[in-house]
Amino acid sequence: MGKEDKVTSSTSNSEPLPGRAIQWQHFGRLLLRIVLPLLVIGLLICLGLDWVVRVRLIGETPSHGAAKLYRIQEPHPGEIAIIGSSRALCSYIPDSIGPNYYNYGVNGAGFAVMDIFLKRVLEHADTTPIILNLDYEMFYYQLGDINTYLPHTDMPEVRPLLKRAGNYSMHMELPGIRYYGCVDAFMKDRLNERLQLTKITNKGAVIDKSPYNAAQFARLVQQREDWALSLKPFHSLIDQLFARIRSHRERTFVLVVAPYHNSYLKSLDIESITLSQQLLDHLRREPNAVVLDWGWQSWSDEFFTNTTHVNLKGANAFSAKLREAMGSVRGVAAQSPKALANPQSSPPEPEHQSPKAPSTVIPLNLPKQELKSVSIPKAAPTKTLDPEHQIQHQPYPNPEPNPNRVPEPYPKPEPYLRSSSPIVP
Amino acid sequence: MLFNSTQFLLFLPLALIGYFLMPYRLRWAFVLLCSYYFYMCWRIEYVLLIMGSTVFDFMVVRAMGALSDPQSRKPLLWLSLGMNLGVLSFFKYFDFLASTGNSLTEALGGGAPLPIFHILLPVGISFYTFQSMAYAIDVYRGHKEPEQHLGYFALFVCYWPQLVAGPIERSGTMLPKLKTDFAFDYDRTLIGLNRIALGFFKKLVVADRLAVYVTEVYSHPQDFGTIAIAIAAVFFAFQIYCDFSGYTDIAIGCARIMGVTLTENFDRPYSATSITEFWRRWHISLSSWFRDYVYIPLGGSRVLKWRMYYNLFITFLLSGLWHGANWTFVIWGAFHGGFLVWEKLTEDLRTRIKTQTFLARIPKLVNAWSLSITFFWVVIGWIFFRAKSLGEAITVFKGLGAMDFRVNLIELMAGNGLFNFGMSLLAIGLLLSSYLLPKDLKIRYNLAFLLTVGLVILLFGKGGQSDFIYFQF
Repeated sequence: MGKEDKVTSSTSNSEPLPGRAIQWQHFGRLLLRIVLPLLVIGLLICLGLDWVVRVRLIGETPSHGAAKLYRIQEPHPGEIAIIGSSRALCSYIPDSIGPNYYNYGVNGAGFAVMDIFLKRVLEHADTTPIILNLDYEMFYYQLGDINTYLPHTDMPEVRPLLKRAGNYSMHMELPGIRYYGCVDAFMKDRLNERLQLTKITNKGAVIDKSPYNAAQFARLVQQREDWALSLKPFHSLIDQLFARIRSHRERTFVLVVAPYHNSYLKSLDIESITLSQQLLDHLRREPNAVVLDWGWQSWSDEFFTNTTHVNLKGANAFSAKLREAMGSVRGVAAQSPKALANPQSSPPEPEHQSPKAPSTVIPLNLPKQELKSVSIPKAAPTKTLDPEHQIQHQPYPNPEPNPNRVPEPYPKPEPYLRSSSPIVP
Repeated sequence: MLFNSTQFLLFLPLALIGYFLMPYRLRWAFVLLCSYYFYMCWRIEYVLLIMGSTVFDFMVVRAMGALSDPQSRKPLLWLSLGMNLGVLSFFKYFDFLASTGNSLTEALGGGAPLPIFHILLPVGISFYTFQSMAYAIDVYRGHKEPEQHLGYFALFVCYWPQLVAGPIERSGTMLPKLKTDFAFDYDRTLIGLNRIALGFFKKLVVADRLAVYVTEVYSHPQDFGTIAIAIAAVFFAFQIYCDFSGYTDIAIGCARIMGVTLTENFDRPYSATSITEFWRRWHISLSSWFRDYVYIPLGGSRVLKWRMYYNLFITFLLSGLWHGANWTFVIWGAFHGGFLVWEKLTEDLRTRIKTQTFLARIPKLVNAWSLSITFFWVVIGWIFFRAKSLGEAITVFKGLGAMDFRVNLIELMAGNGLFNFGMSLLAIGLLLSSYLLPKDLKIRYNLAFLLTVGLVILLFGKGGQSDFIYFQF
C-alpha cells in the first residue's frame, strides 16, 4: 500500500487533519473550485451550443427535417406544400414543378409524422392544393431520423410520438445536451447544403447526385427480391388521413404515388397490393382528392438510387411529369418552372409511361375471391374490430369522422416484414 | 449498467456521495449494495449466480485455510476451482463445445446429439471467476490468509467499478484497500474525475466513432477493396484499445475517488516494439494472471527450452479461449503465442543484428521499424478477434490479399461519407494528442481540462448507447 492508502488524504501536500474535518474542507474546495464553475460554465456552453445548432446549423439548412418543422409552423401564403417521407424528399424538385412549391419531405417519416405537417398546413388560412406523397409503407408510426425532432420536443405531437417509438429520453429536454451525439450529423447536413457535394438541395428537396452504378444497383435489386413485404398498416392512421381530407373540403389534396422500382413491387404480397389499391380507390372517391398513382410505372434502373428512391435523373423526370399533371389541378396558378441541372443529361422521360402494372408483377385485376380475403372494412358505416391491433376503428369510407369517438391507445407496431432483415433499401 | 448510460451519470454521484457520508463500519455494505444494484441493472436473476458463487468460494476457501496440511487442502482447492470453471464452462463454453461436437459427429455421418441452449452469458463472469480462482489459489499456496468477513469478500468479488470488465484484481492487494477508511480527498478526486473524463473521451469520441466504419466493412467484407479493409483493420485496433482502456479508465477513476487504486491495465500498447512488449502493455491484469496461475505452474521458463515454448504457447492459447467461445479467439491466442515463441527463439540473433551491424548506428530508425512491424502484426491478429467466424476472417484476409487498390471514394468511405471518415481520423488524432497528458493525470488546470473534454464529447461524441466490447467476455 502506498502513502495514499492510509486513513487520511494522501495526494495533497497539506498536513493530514483528523477525520471528518478534512473531508468537509476538501469537499468545499471541490465544490467551489470545480463543481460549481463546471456547472455554471457548462450551462453557458450548453446554451451556446443549443443556439449554434438551432440558429446556425438547423436554421441555415432548410432541407433538414428539423428546419422544416420550424418552417411549417409559420404561414407561407400561396405555397404548395409537398408532404411525405424520404421518397418525397428525393423525388419532388420544387423549382422544376413550379415557383410556389416547397418540399417538406422527412427521411423515414410515416403518416404519424406527415400528419404533423398536414395539420399545420391546414391550420393556415390558404386555398392552395396540398401534395401528399403516398408510400405503400406509410401508415405506421415510424419517425425516421430522430435528429429531426430534437429541437421540437415542446410540440404537442412530437413528444408522444418519440415516447411511443421508444426514442424519448429526458436529455432531449436539456438545451445543448439534447444534441449530444448528433452535432456532427447537423454539421454534415449544413456542409452539404452549402457545398452541394454529394447531394443537391432545392427548396427542401434533397436529391442524391451520385452516378448510377449498375453493379451496385443490381445488388440492391437482388437484396430487395430476397425480401417479402406484407403490409399491416394502422387503420387509425388511414382514418386520420380521411378525416383530414373530409374536414377541409376547400383544399385539394393531390395524392401522389412516386415511382417504385419493379423489384420493390414484386416484393409486395397480394394482400398488400390489394389493400393499397383499394385505399387509392377510396381516396379517388373523395371529391377534393386527386390521385396520381405512378407507383406502378415501369421506370428503368438508371432513374433510381435504390429500389424505392429515384436519383437526380429520376427526380427531374418525375417533377416534369408532375408539373404537367398539376396544370389541371384546381387552385394551381400558371407557373414557369425550371429543371435542376443534371450533370449527365437533360430530364428524360421514363421508358414506359403507361400506368399499367409491369407484366412481371402480380396483376392488379384481382379475382373477387382474392378481394374477399382482404380484411379491409367495406363501406358500411358500422364499427368493426380489427383483429390485427385489437382496437376499434371506423372504416375509412365513413362519410364524416365521429366526434364522439374515444381516442384509441397507440397499438404496438405490427411487424410487417416476413424476413428478419431490416428494411433498408 | 453501462458506464456510458444516463443511468450511470445519476448512479455515480449518488454512489460516491453515499460512500463518504456512510459511517466506516457500514461502508462495505453500502458499496456491496451499489455493486449488486449495478449488476442487477443488466439482469436481475444473474445476481443470484454471483452471490451463490461468492458464498460457495468463501466457505470452501475458509475451510481450506483452517487446514495446515497442503495435501488435505488440495481437494478443497479443486472444489473451488471446479465450481468456478464449471460455471464459466457452462455459461460460456457449453454451446460452443456442443456445436463443435455436433459438427464433428455430423461430418462423421452421425446426427447432432448435443442440445444447444443459446445461453445468455452473464456479464463479467470471466472477470469475477478469475478473481475468485486467484483468491483460492493464493490461500492454498499460503500467500494469503482466508478472508473472514463474508461482506468484504463479496465486495472483493463484485466491486462495482471493475465488476464487469476488470481490471482483474488480486485479493492480497485489493482486500486491504477495501477495508481502509478513506477520507474524502480533493486531489485524489480530481485525478479520479480526470481519469473518468479521459475514459469517456476514449469510448464516446474515439471507439464509437471508429466503430461506424469498422462495423460497415466487417458486416460485408466481400464488398470492399484492399484499402478499405486495411483501413478498417487499423481502425479496429484503435477502436478496441479505446473501448477497453476507456472502460478501464472510468473504472480506475471511480475507484480512485473512493481511495482504491486499481491495477493499471494498459500502458500505451501500440508503442510496443515487440509482441512480447505488447503483452506487457495490453490487458496487464489478465496477462499477469495467466503468468502467475498458468504459465508459472506449468514450469514457466525454468524448464527445458522446448518446454518453455510449449508453456508459452499453451498459456496464450488459453488466453485466447478466455476471450470467447469461438475458434477465432483460439486462433488469435495461438497467433500471439506463436509470435512470442518466435521472438524467444530469435531473441539472441535479433539482438546481435541490432547491436553488431550498421543498425546500431540508427537506433531510432530501428525502433520505429520494430514499432511499425509490431503494430502490423497486432492489427493482423485483431482481424481474427473482430471476425464473427472463421469464414468472415478468411474473407477479410482474401480481401487484403487481393491487392485491389482501385480507388472508389464511396467504398473507401465505407458508405458513410467523407465526413464520418474525416471524423474518424480526427478521433485518432485526438487520441494520440491525449498521449501528451501526464501519465498520472495530475493536471494543473483541472477545470479547463474537464470542460475541454466535456465539450469535445458533446461535439464529437457518437450518439447511441453501444456496449463495451469486453462486456461480451
